Amino acid sequence: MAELNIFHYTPQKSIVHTMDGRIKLLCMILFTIAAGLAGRWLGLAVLTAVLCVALTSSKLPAKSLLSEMRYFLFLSGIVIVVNSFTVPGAPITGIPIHGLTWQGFTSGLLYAWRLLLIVLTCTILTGTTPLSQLKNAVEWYLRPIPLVPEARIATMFSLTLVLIPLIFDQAAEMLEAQKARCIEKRKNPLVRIKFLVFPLLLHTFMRADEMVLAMESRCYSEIRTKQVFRTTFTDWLLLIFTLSVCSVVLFTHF
Amino acid sequence: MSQSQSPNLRMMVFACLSTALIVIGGYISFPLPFSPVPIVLSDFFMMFAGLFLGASWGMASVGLFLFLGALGLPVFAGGRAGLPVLFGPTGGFLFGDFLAVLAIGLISGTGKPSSIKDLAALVVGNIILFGLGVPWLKQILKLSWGKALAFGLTPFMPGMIIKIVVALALVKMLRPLLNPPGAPTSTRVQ
Repeated sequence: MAELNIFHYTPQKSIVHTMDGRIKLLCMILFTIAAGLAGRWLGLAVLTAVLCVALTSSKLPAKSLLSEMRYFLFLSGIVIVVNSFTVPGAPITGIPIHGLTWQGFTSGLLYAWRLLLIVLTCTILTGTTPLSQLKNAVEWYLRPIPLVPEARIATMFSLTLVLIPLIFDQAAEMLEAQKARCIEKRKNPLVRIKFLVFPLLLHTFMRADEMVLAMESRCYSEIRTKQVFRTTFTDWLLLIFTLSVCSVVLFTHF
Repeated sequence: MSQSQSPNLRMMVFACLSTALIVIGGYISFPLPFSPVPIVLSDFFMMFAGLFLGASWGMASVGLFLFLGALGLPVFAGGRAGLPVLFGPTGGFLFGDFLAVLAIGLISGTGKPSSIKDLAALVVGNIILFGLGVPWLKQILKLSWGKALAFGLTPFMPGMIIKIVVALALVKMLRPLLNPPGAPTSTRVQ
């Protein structure tokens, strides 16, 4: 199933794929800060335009991206609906639904837009950067900080991203198995949750245990050859461009 | 049953798994119409991490979660991310998670494990979590105390009790996994 499989790499030959992972990671951090602070429509529109350009130049398959993001689309739909009915304000003229307010609708839309922007940024980053490169980029940034076990943190970072889809897979498997055993006859939702959650967690921890064995048998250690990063002119251009976009967005905020 | 050579590596992978569970717990969220704080399962898995992994690895797990969010990966409740969320209205709950896991790990980890100690640990952990989260919420949104409590504490009380009970049961079931001899770990790999 891999319901929420947005953190995965799609190999392509594009300019975004060839860029330096460190710069891309930094750009993502800047972008999410800008998207989180942008309070006006203009700022969000600028960020969206930039992301659309990045998406088209990265040649990621837009159709499958959309289906992978469907959970977040669903979530933002809920946010818009909930906000529309609960934030006090003037009712929208022309729509005869009680309790619907214009202020609520716009605030919900703003929230949802921001959410989707951040998810899209993350999708572009993880879609165009192999996980190993991302991991090495994290390690590179943490290296100058004293008292921080950078190799371990970077490994944990990549392991977590690997484990998230694994849990979803396990859950899907478990649901199928229980359907085959007539779980539908149990009407009590609490009993169903109990029968799902407990074995699910037990099995994911067992899978993690196997992962430990696999890592050990492949002589996992934290002392590894460091990846050599190469920055080109386009990388610096991207960084300068992101910085300027973010500062413009923050400028419109204040 | 082959035994793990390095308990550290095992704990590391388990900590990562807990982080992944905290992330997924954040996706299972219900936005409350009247409050900026959503109902999530993250804090349930945070409690679980504290009990199951102990103080240091539990903190590593929650710290990694905060780190992922700060980098901009959509891991916080309802797919939010970034430093503005970390220092926003609900930031107190996120940092509170970090301190709570420390307290839970310390209280339940000293001496022999027992359900009563686990229960005490979870209660103290939740007091820390809300003790940091609610004043933070009040300060940033400039609410009155009554309103801050109505936004950040009362809607979560019933859920909190359920989470504590389930976490206790879950830890009781999974704890044998930490002590490999005789544990029902994978038998496929000999």
